[in-house]
Amino acid sequence: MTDADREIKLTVRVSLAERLQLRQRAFSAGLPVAVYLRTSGLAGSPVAPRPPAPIDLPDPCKKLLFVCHGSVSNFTQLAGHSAAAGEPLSRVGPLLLEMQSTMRNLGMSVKAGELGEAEAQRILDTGLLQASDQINVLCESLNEGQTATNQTWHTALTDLRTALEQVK
Amino acid sequence: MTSPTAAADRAAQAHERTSKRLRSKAASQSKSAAAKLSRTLKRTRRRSRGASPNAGSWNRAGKTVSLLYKKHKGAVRGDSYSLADKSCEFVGTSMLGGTPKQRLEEFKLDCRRHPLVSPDNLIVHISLSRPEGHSLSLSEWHEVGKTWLKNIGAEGCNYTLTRHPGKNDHVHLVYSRARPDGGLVSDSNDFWRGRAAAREAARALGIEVPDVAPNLTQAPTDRAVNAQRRAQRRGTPNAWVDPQVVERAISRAKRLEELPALLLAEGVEFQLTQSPNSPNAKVTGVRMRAKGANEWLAGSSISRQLSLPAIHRQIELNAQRANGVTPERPPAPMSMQRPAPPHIQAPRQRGG
Repeated sequence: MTDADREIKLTVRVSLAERLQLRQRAFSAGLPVAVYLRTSGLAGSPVAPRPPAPIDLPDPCKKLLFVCHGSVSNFTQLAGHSAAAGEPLSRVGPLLLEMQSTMRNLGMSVKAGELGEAEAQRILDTGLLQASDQINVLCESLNEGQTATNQTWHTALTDLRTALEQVK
Repeated sequence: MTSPTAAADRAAQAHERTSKRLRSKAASQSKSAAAKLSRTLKRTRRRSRGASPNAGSWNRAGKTVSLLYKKHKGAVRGDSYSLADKSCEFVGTSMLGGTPKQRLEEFKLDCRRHPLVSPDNLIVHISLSRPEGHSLSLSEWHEVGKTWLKNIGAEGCNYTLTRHPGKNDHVHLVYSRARPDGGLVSDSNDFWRGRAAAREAARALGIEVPDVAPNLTQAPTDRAVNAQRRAQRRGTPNAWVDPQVVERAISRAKRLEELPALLLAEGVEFQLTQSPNSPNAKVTGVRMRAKGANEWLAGSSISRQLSLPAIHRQIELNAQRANGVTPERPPAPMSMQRPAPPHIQAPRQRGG
């Protein structure tokens, strides 16, 4: 491919007089110039794509968003339960908040349409689905007034943490 | 529960404070400003005199509202306003964000989905409140909020709900009109639709207020108040009579001629007024006064039910009933009947 074949695209904001001058120069130099007119105020400014409506999201993205929603809510409740349980469970509070933040960011990416279908499927396949299910079961049992052993807490949180590390 | 007298006194004190402040403010202003001030004071005086014992936004019209709906401005900031109060309680949300700032980010995503709708119009801020003494729990408020959203057609939309507990227990609901299917919740006629949705939610959840609205009182007419003040200035007996006493006497009378004697037994003097210019001495109205007073008060200036035509109608009805004649129109069912007229307050003593 030679230089003559290469198409150069430049987005510049110019006044009408400058544009006419530019065309004249290009004509005298023998360069073909195509001028695309744009709205003056928007020329050159990046326009963010419109986020998709939740119903328009692909199925894996919908599923991931559902998991994120549930997990964010579960983490809030677990933080309360762990604080009420006292030592040593109360120490997992910061970890819960950190994982909640990660899940929230993941959900926001899905909502904003920044995460594709394949990527969402990959994240779900890392074991996030099973780990979040475990968290959900733990949360439900604690909400019903049942007690959970430290081992149950440890397993559920470790699994989810491992899954989230693979997401990054 | 406050007594009517205490409520009226409080209202009078409020009026005094307002008038003092406004008078001092307008002391150095122009003539038109003084006239405006005079009008304002007259208006506030009327309001303060007419204050009912339980005055509030609840029962001013004689109705009890189980969920009061209001629409607010400034929803573009999300729920940061609702959470600014120290005593607020976060009720729930359908969003991912844990802080107002994070939730605002999500609202902004909705705004980006609908670039042609102004954010002011897309994010809506309303409040739902309960009457005093009828607070709801957090979970009940959450149900109310969700049901209201469903009724308005915003099911599945992003929302956040915050409660401001206290005497006026209420929740602030900030929601996005962007529906999950990409559509937009209509805001057409939203004042009436919002109220209807609140009524439906209250009915569906069974949180209607069971007790009836308290008896309302109505301020005395200006003429009655003026007469009372004149009498107070001159040190003479007050001419005002209780309209309920007169109404009781009228309900017993079968002829207009019987009425003066019936009223005199209750301590009320009664006269028919005749037009001074009319050659046939035509009766134009009625006047009455408390026994021993110097001044007369026209019947209609005591109560609208005591005008001459109204008295004629009632006496005619009494006579028909006594003769066993049923009225032509059967009485309306209870649901369609008008509420009883409010009890008219006696003019207050000044400086008392």
